[in-house]
Amino acid sequence: MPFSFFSEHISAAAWRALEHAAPEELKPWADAMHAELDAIEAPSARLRWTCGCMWALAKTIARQRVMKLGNERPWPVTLIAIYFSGFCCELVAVLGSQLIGHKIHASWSEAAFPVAFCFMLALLPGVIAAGLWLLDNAARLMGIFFALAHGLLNWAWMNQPSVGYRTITLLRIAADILTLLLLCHPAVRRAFQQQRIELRLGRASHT
Amino acid sequence: MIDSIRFSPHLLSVLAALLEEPAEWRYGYDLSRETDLKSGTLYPLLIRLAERQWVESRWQHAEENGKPRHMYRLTAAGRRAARDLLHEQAKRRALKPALQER
Repeated sequence: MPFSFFSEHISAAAWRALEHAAPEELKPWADAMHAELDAIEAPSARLRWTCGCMWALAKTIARQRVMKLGNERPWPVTLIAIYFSGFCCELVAVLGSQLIGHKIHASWSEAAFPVAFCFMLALLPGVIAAGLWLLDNAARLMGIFFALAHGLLNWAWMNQPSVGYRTITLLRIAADILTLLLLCHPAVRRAFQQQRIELRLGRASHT
Repeated sequence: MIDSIRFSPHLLSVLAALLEEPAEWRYGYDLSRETDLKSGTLYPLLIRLAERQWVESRWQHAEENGKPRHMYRLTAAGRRAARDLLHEQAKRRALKPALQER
């Protein structure tokens, strides 16, 4: 079977997929790219054009999504929210491994409350991350407090005699300082200012 | 985050190609061959230029020549911006050998 047979089928399948997957605002561009195929004769060139157009649309969709993210919240807030989410996952995983690995030797009646309390504490960075994502100023203040407390705890840990993981601890302290500075930055503070709510009165309905 | 368009060599070559005959409508495939850019590079640039309103587009009417195709040309703002950018690029290129000699 000649190459042109396969390439035409692949191209046709790719264009059907593009028509289906392209967002509404990019459909005219997908149609525009598709329309150029008639001007291209060689099957290999048509296939290359098709692959290029798929890449073009994927790049544009990714760029628009990143832009939307940045327009809604400053990128440091996104990064810090991801950092806190990761921290929460790490803490929950450590607690989970303690439970699964039967490392808790006390009876359940004694351990239930401390375990529940530890889980609540482990979820705290996750709650802060959610608040940061929603641009809640209380979450920003909690984030500052959390970074400060975490940094001081790590500093106290490092000053213990014969303690390991010094490099990781130093990196975590650096991350806490960076988090503090970013959350206190004026541009970030402005993003957390409450939006003015405009009330519009509609017409009263007549019964 | 503002979408600051990066003035890459690819973008400048697209602007230069469109500026050659600013009043003429150009097809995407022709631009691709002229600038030697693949569709995957050319169309994201055209989309961003259209978002900035530096490029306008329209469909060629079907009765003119078979199936309709999409055409592009620079807007007035696009022509001004293209001239400024290409002029800057030419200045930088002229300075480069002089700096290297030193």
